[in-house]
Amino acid sequence: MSALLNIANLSVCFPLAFGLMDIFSPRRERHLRVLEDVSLDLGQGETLGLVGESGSGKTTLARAVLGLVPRSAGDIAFDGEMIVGRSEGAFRTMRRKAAMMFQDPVASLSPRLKVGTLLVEPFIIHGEPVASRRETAERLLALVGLPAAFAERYPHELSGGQARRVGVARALALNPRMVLADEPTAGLDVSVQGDILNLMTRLKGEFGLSYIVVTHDLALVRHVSDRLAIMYLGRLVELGPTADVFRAPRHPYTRALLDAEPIPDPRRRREDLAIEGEIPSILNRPSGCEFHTRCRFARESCRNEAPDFTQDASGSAVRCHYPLE
Amino acid sequence: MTDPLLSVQGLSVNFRTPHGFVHALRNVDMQASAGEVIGIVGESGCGKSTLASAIANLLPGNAGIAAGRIRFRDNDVLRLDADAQRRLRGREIAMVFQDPMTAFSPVLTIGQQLIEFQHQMTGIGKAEKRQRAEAMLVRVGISDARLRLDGFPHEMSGGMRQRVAIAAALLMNPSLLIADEPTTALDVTLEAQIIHLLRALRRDYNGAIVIVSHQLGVIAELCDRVYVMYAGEVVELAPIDDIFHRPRHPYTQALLDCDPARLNQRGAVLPTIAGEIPDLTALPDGCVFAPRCSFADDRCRVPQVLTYVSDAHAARCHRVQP
Amino acid sequence: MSSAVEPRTLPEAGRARGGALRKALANPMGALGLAIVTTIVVLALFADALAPYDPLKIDVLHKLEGPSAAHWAGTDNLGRDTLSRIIYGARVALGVACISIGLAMFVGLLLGLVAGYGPRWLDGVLVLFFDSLSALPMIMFSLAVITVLGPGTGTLILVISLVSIPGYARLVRAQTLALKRSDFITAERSLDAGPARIILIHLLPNVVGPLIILASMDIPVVIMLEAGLSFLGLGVRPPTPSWGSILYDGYNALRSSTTLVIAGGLPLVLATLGFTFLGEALRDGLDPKLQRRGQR
Repeated sequence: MSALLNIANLSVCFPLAFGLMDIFSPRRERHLRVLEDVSLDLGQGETLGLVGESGSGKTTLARAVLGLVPRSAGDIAFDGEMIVGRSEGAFRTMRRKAAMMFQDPVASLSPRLKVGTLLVEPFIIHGEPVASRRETAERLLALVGLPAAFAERYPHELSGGQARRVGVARALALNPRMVLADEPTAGLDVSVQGDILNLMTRLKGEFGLSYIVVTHDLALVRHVSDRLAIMYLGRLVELGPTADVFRAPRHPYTRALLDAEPIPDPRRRREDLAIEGEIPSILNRPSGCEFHTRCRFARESCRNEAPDFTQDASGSAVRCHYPLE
Repeated sequence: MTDPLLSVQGLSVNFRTPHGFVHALRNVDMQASAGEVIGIVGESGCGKSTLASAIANLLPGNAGIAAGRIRFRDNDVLRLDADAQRRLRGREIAMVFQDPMTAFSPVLTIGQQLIEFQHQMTGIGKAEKRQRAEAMLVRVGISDARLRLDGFPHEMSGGMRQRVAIAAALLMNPSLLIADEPTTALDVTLEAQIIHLLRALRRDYNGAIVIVSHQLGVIAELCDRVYVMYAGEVVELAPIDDIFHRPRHPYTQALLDCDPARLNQRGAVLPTIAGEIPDLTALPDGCVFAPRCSFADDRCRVPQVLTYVSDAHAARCHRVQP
Repeated sequence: MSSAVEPRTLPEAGRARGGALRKALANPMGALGLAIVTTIVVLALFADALAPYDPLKIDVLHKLEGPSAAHWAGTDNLGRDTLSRIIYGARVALGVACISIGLAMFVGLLLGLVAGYGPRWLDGVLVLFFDSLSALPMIMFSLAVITVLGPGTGTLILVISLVSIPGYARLVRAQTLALKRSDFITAERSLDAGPARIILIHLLPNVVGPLIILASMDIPVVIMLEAGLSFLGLGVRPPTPSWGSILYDGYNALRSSTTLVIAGGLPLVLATLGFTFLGEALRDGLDPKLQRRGQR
């Protein structure tokens, strides 16, 4: 099966600066290991949901895929080509065929440029000829349902929803194969977040896009993604078709996440606690299976041995010694 | 029925801005009695945070009370002088804010700050205040409380800081606790813990709790009665079960329909409410939700009143028959 | 429609500057500053028309006279009309200030951007360069440069520029370092924008604002600098009138006449006050935090 994107053993690691105080109290970790050994595929026309809480590394993974954050290990292959090296140049082709939508839509637009200029910029950067800048900008705005007049506005003159749409338009400027969306509904009211997701779905059908959607909102990701990848402390802990993961989660953390989500129905209140404790700091990773400190099913072996990310025949995987049935 | 502890009557609040007067709250009525947990739910621009700030007397400088009163016990809160307001706020009304990161001063220890929060408790010494602080930290589920007292806020995670913020609020034994989006900034597993904590605390807390949130799930988990707000007005008020299972106002119904957690089928299209919230500086006559309402008709052109369908359930819509 | 529901005002990039000028004028100090600065600019620009006499015309018979109908500010030690010298001195002061600050800003902007956005090793080298330059004691540095290049206005401008560059470069570098991590810069990188594009199109316009404010606050400082160096004979060469050289002549002639010293010192004091008042009023006007409070 030719996957559109193939990530193998990707790790991202930042060295921590050695300060004077480290002479007196040496830290255990000299590196900030944000992503550890992540492997996954994205198929053509697929939407993959990347789910996790703070410190899970999901945003870093999306950025590493585009080379915005240098990887310390692992391979990335996109559209049949391996990305060789870590330099900005290595990602040139990828950045032409893949685009990113950022979490804060207004902050991700250069504040002194007009929307029209921002929309045409991808063409200029990649040397694509543009017959009429104005027409191109208007076409892209129409694609996302914004009036042509918006080309004259500055980013701070846009509402959150409007800026998101501009972000979508900009991402689609060069007809990418893949779009990475970082929290596409962050800051949007419930009554309008459907707008942006419906737009993304429609465009997916029209242009044959594949998406990676990074989010912490499980209820939402259930409706937009085909497959789910759950992350904890920089590692993948579960991977599988969305419906399966929701129906029968195999990793205790996935189970806890699903249980923790508050249900908008007073008749279905959760009386017991889904999960205790806090997310450990990545500077102080637990031994063995890194989830064992909060897992209600943890056993002795969980503390001592780190489980592998075992994939089964259907491509689903779980990182657990004793996956739930 | 006992007299409500808190009674907001006909409250209207404006903000003076360069764009004009923003009518953030219009003729809002609300009550909370001791032992109740009230939920105020709505989306951006509905005025829920303004209402919470008004009750705690924390409105910004450009806010003006256009009409109405807030009665707390027997005091008319808005008409007290500055000193009396401060005393009320410190002793009787406590607030927990959305952002646990900025709730505390970074240069003082947690212990110092928790002791400082008790400054209105004359008659007990510093040692006793410290003990109370420690006990409260234990009560909100912080292990090694004694160590934490000597630590600084930046040494704690967001979830822990929110717990400490709740502890700080409860230290004064307030009669009214207001929580403005208490879990919005937290990860879902921590959110569940805070919800669990609030539920446990409620059991031996005698006062009233008001929870402001845009998340229906949080409201459903914690509240007894709910006020639904839209564009500065209360559009529906009801006991918790009625709101979620027998909503009468079109906005409430539409809002519930949009919540992805309530959708059973994975459809091709997610439901939304068409249109945008109205410009609060230039409000239309008549029902403020009518432009976006699928049931709108000519009768919506006049201002709508709250119609009661039962003792405790009312909706601001002419379609509602008592 | 932007979210007019929130009581906070949206920052308005372009409009802010016009509004700032209005606010500066509303402030009495700002208005006074603007008046003084305008006067000096007018004097500098129209010196030829405004000066009653040729500032270089020597008339030894009428040296060191006090103020009179013929010479409103008296004459200096060589009989030249002091008022005319003051007026032409404005041209020197402003000219040296604008050119040297302009040069320093240009170089500082580029170096600061490169230091902030470029590779770490380049940043290290540049910061070392800035630190070294600012560690030099200015007088000694001027002497050294003069020894090599000879004294004169050109050397003066060079010295002042070099000495001012580190301050501007450091400011720009700090701004750049902060902005480097912004979402919009990451977004541009995700579109594969190269460093040149990012620096010139996306970073430069956003760092130039504080730089302009700093530079405008520097004008009175540079005027003083020029005066000081001219006083020491390291600045503009006589007979070109400079407020500093008038001060020097006055200092030497103090036993005979106090007018000259005052004539040299007063414009300096007024210029410094005027530019400082105006600069501070403008800066307050542009400060977004003060804008947001709404009241004042």
